[in-house]
Amino acid sequence: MTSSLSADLLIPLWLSLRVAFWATLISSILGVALGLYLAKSRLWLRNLLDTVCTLPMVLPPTVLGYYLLVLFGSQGFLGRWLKDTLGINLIFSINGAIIAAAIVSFPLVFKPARAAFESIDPQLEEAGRVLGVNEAGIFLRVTLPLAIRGIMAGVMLGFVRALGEFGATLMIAGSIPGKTQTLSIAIYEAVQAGRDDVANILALVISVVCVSLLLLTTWVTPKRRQAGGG
Amino acid sequence: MAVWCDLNIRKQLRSAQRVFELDVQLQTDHPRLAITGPSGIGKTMMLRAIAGLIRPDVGHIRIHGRPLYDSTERIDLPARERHMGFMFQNYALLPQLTALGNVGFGLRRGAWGVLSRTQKAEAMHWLDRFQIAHVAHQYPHTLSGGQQQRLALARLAITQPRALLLDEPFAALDPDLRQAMRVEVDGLLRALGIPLLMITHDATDRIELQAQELRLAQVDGKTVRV
Repeated sequence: MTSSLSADLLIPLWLSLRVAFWATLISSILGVALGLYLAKSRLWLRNLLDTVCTLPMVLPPTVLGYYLLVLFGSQGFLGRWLKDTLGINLIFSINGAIIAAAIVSFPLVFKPARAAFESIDPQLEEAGRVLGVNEAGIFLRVTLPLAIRGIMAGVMLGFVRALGEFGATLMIAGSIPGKTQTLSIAIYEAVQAGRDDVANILALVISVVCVSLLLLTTWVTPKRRQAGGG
Repeated sequence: MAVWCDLNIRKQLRSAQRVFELDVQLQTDHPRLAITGPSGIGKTMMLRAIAGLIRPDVGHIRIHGRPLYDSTERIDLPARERHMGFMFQNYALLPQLTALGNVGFGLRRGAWGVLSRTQKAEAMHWLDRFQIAHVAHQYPHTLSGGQQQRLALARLAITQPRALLLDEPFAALDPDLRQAMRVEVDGLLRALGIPLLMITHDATDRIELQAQELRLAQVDGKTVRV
C-alpha cells in the first residue's frame, strides 16, 4: 500500500484541494458581488436572477456537466472563443474541473451572502453616511464587517461542496489520473476496479475533511449581536 | 440667530394601500424647534430629507443659507456632505465597534478606519465630555440606554455638525434619565452654537429645551404645517 499511497490517495487529494481552492475563490468573488447586488437592488429582475443562479443546486450534476460541455466544448461558442483568443481548453483539463466545481458551489456562496447583506439594518449604513463617510468607507467599515460571518459560512459550505463535486466534473473534465481525477472520482474508479481497500481509505479521508470543515462552519456562523437600541 | 432653516419640500409616496404626501414649508430664525404631530404623519421623513437620506420630489432645503437640496437648480448634496447631526431613534450605533470606535467613526471618511493618535485623543475627549470615557473599550450592546445615547451624541458632536436633528431622542429613556439627557443636549447646543430640530411627543422636552413647536397634521390627505 505504501508504494501506491501517493498515487492512490495523495495525488487525488491534492488535486481535489487545488480544484476546490480555485473554484471557491472564483465563486466567492462572484457570489459576494451578486449577493450584494441582489440585497441592494430593487430591480424586478433580481428574483429571476436569483432563481437562475440557484439552478446548479437543484439540477442533476450530469445535466450541468452536459450544459458545460455544450457551452465550453470545442464546438461550443464559449469553448471556441476561449481556445481562439486565450488558448485555454477546458475539456479534459483541471480548468474544466475548476469551472464545474465553481458553478456547483456558487449558489451555496451567494445565497448566504445575500441573506447576510439583507440582514443588516440599513440605518447603520445611513448613520455612517450622515457622519461624512464615503461609500467605499461605508462598504468596508460597516457593510462588510457586519456581513462577514454569514459570508464566511457560505464560503466554507461552498468549499466543501466544491471538494465533493463529482457529476459535472466527470462530464467536462473526465477522469485522468493525476490530471483531472479528483478524490471523489478516484473513489468511483476504485470501486469500479474492485479495489475496495483504496475506496475505503479515500472515502474515510474525504468524510473526515468534510465533517471537519462543516464543524468549522457552524463555529463561524453568525451569533448576532443586537444592533444599537436600548 | 438669522433664518437658519429655510425649507419647502414636497414628497409623495405611493403604495398599494395608500398615497402619502408631505408638503411642508418652514422658514425660521428660532434656534430650537420641536416637531410634533401624530404617528405616521411624516415627521421622521422630514428630518431624513434634511439629512439627505431621502430625496424630496420638489422644493428646496437651505440650512444657514447653504442649499442642500434644490429641485430647480438640480442641487442634491449627498448625506456625507451635509454636515447634519442626525440622530436615529434607535441611535444606530455600530455593533462591531467599541464606544471609542463609534465616536471616532466620522473622523475618518474613507475606506480606512484606523484612527491616528491625535484622532484617538480627540475621540477620548468627547467620550470624557459625555462621562462615558470609562466604557471606551466596551461594545454598544453592553452599554445602558443612557450611555448609548451619550455615545450617539458624542459621535455626532465630534464631526462638528451645523445643526442637530434628533428623532424622538428621549422616548426610550427612564423619566429621571430624560431630564439628565435634556441637560446634555442643551449643553451641547450651547457649546457648538448650533440650532436644534427635534421630533418629540413630550411637551416637557419642548419646554425644558425652550423649543418652538412646529405642528404637523393631515389636511385633505396631505401632511402640512398647522
